[in-house]
Order: sequence, then structure tokens, then C-alpha cells
Amino acid sequence: MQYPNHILPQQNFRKIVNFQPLHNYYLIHFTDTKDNKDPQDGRVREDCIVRQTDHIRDFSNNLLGTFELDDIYIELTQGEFKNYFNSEWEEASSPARVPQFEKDFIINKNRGFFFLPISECDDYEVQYSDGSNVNPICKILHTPTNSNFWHVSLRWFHNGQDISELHERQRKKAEIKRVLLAAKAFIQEKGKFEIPSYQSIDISFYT
Amino acid sequence: MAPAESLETKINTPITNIGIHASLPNWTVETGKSYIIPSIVVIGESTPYLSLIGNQASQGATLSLSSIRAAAQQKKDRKYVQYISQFSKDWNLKRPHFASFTKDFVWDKFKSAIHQFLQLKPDFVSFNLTDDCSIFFKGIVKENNIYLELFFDNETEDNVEAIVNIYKDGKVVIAYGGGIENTFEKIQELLVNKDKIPVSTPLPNAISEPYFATAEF
Repeated sequence: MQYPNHILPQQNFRKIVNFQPLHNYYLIHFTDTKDNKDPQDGRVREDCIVRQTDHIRDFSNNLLGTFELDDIYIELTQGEFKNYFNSEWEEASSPARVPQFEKDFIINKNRGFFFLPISECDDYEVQYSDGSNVNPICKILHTPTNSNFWHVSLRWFHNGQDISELHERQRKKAEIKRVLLAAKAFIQEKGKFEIPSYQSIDISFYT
Repeated sequence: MAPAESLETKINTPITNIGIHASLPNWTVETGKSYIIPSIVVIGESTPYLSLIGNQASQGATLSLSSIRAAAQQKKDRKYVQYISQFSKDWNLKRPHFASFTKDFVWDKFKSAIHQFLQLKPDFVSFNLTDDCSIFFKGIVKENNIYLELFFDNETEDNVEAIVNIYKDGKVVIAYGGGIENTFEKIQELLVNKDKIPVSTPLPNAISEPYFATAEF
């Protein structure tokens, strides 16, 4: 089995900076299990989002479009090049290697998934009314890796700073806790299970 | 006597032509003699939504206020046991993440939060102890989705902080953090004073005492 070429970055690609024209598209996030829906309220199970709230400050997804539904089952193995494949793609570079089936990746059909509509994520703001002046804003950042051009991150900004980039000592706990709960609640609230209709991303958006 | 329709709107029954007669305010419901003995499912904490389920072999029955209250109490007792059981189970798994806090301390704060959550008459409430030295609660109160997390932290006043986000119709209607009491006051303020939710008909003389007042585990 060959690694799907349509998810590999290419030398002539560029990162997507503005997601405004892609507001009709969805992000897809994989879960370790198909049993990812809370039967009580029909929402994403909390333990299927992240084990530690702190991990939610950089929430990995894929841009559904050219990245297809079945691509979500691709799982990188613990092979010797895993770090390389997971590393951020350097713009204008070609991948030095392509993942090989079983050695570098497998198909994991046990995975489940849910979707996040870009229109509801991009620039979403939560305003705390407790005098803390914490108003986190959700941003979608295109963060392609050497094995997946369509990898995107949900990040949360506070006072113009990406909290995923703050070092431990720079983080004020009261603020960070508010941001992280906002992120966790947001994903549970916005996560959807119905498979949306989608089409390939027009090449003009990324070349 | 109130018209039957006023109670029928609260009744969810898969069986048609059941022949219900309602008598308010003493909450007496009679089923037709040739039908079923109803079993009661109380959904929600205050409003006695009833599901009438039974079988053709049973004879008719009278559903009285006392049986509704008994069912409600039974349900609360079951929940109470479930909460204690889940807390203990979670605690055994997550204890290492609460390293600097005793089980008693965490239980005390949990008890306070769940009690206040139940006072909001949620459609449901669930919780998990997390790897972040916190307890995450989720519940629905009249179409408001409540996400609340108790963060245990030695650097916080009272060593615990309650942070809440509430969504209605996909939008945040309140985001707030503070002490447990203070945060629940804000939630109450939103849900009651600002009339964000429709007022439901309370179960007459519904059991409202703190379920955890004497809880031990």
C-alpha cells in the first residue's frame, strides 16, 4: 500500500494563512476509539478530546477537503523516521522521504473522528466577566508536517500571545486555566459527528 | 380540577388511547382499567415527566403524588450512590495527579460543587477527575450547556478555583471563574434572574435537602 500522495507537501506549496475563504470547510479530528460520543448529551466525550487539558492549547486537526475521510485512519508507527514525519514542514521544501506501509505507517480502522466547522472556530472569542480580563480567541493555524500538508492546529491567543508558545514560567495559572477550560468547552460544544459534504481545496489557496 | 391536557403535556407515553385523567394540584393520575400499571420514570430533578410503561396483562392503577415522590427519591438515592461510587473509582485512578491534596479535601469540594449543581435542576450532570488535578463537570440546565471545572491549586485562594463556561444555542452566555460559591451564584444569576431558562413546574414538595450533607464513602 502506498502513502497517499495528495496529503504530502510539495515544493511549490505554501501555507494557508487566511482561512476566511475556507469557512465552508471543516476540520477533522481523530479519536482513539469510535466510541467517542457521550450518550447523555450526544456530544464529544471529554476523554476523547484530550487526556490532559494542558494538551488542548495546541489541538491537532486536518483540513477536510483534499485530505479525505479515509486518510484519518493513517497512523504513523514508532518507526525511526516518526520524528521527521511529524516535524513541521519547511515551506518550499520537498519531503526527503515518503512513509512506507507498515514500516512508517499503518491503517488504523479503530479510530473514530469528529468535525469542527471552520466558520465557527476561526476568531471565536470567549469573554470572561470575572474581572480577570481573560478573553481568549481561537485561531486556526496551518501547521503542515513532513507527512501531512493538511495538518492544522487550533490555538488559543490571549493578549495577542499564542498560549502554546508561552513557557511554563510565563504562564499565569489563573489565566491559563480560563483559556484551557474555554478550549475544552468549545470543542465539546462545536464538535460534530455528521459527515459533512466536502470537496478538494482549490490549488490556488496553497500554491 | 385542571384540564387533563395540562398534565398530558408532561407525559411521554408510547401507548395511545391510554385513558388518562389528571387531577391537579394533587397529582393523581388514573389509567384506564383495561390497560396497564404505569411504571414511573422521572426525568430531570424537578419536573415529574412521566413515562407510562407497562403490559397488557396488568390491571388498571392509580398513580398518586406519593408514588411520584417515591420514584423521585429513589432516583436521587441511586444517583447519590453512583456519584460516590464514581468519585471513589476515579480517585483511585487519578490519585497521583492530586498529589498534594487529600481525598477528604477533594471530596469536600466535589460534594459542595455537585450539590450546588443539582440545585440547578439539571437534566443530567456528569463529572470526571482529570490528569490536571481538577474535576470536570458537564451538565444541561434547560438548554444551557454547562462546562465547569474545579482546579485544585495550592496557589489559589481556598486551594480551589471553579471556572465555568455556559453555552446556549451555540454561543457562550457566561464565562466566569472564582470560588465555588461565588461561581454558582453567578450561574444562578444567569439562569434564574435573567430568565434565560423557562421556569419548570416543580414537583410538589420535591425533595430539596442537600443529598450529601452526611455523605461518607
